[in-house]
Amino acid sequence: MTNSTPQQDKIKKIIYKIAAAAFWIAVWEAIAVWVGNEIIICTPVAAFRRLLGLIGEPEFRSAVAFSSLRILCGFFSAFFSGIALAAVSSRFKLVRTLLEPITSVIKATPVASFIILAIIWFGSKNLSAFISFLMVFPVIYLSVLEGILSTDKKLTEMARVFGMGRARKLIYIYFPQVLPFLSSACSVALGLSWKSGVAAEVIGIPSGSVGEKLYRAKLYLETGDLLAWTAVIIFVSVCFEKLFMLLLKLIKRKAGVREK
Amino acid sequence: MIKLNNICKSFGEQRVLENLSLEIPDGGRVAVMGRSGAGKTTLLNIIMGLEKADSGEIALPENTTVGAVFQEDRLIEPLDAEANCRVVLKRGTDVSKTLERLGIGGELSKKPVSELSGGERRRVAIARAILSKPRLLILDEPFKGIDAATLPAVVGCVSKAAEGRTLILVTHSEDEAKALGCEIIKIDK
Repeated sequence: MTNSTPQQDKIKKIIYKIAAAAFWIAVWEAIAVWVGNEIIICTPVAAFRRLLGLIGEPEFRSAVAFSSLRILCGFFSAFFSGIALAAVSSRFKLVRTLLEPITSVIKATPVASFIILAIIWFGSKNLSAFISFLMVFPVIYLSVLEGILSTDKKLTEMARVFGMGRARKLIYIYFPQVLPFLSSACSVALGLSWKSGVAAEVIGIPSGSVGEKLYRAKLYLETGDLLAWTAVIIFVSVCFEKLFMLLLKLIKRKAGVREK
Repeated sequence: MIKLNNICKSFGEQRVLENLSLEIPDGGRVAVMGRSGAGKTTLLNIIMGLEKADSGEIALPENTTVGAVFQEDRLIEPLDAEANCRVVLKRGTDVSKTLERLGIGGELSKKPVSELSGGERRRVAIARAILSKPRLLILDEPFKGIDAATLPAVVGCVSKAAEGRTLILVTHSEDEAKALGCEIIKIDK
């Protein structure tokens, strides 16, 4: 019996993934053929053809840019404010106590309630930014706070005795501790920001957004358009997630954090 | 001069230090000895400001810088030996010579400390403490886990580095205390 090399294992993994995807596309094709009604469900080939058609349309790029810009704006605002407030909360219990009910309410409230409230308060143009901020903030804030609070007390004491500066403490003690928490929070939060952002656009229908395109596809029963736009959202979301996680991985490596 | 006057400390019902008074002149060397649980580490923690005494007074000279070897190594695991020393030192301090003298030279100094043996890690912790050139050097069982072959060189290195500094050593070994020229103080309730 021969042991496979890591390279072979990697290729095997990719083949399995492609095979699994192909299986489900075949299931989709079979269901579409069996139903035989393009309004209810179109075939994968029809959806793919529609996707190619969409890419050629002038509105495509502007819609993707419109939604991406707002969703990413919401994500990054939540990312930075979540980290900053977690740092403040770890130091001041009062801030932590004050933020606790807010994060609990955000986590428990249905996103649709926030979407409707936000439409009433601010209108729909920047709705997706606000909603993705709201969904991402508690995830980042709570994870970073947990990371900071679980920092090895013995190391912080060592830093205190030796009179280590704030910057060094941050880089060498807190960063390696918090990064794994931040990285797993981001992988959850990134998907969440796109899902909630697009859902907000479907309800608020801001003109020129991906959500509006989805809404129109539903209105005119264009299942091909609906599936094609869904594929676009998944693609953009996954691309951004991969890029962002790669960046975090590089930072983690630079900070000397070992992968678990 | 370090002055401790009637220091008391309890953890719950357990009284660890009771009316402990101690004076250590500048540049003095003291070895605190006593059975396990006698409060030796607690005493060091109080001097370092990591724990508060329940009662009593403690006076340290103004701007006292402290370098310590803790009971545990307290090293930053992913960093190598050199980086572990550098994080507490001023930029540009040469760490390699001291590490080499303690037997952590060459390739060994470039390995993450998590990959070093117990004795090697202890020597990195010693290097970090003496390289910081503190006014007060606090050593809590610093030679624990260091093999007999390397011990004399390490003790010699520490003794030389402690010249002109105040040294407080916690140990179970009178030989170590004598080798460092310490006055022995026994604490037992």
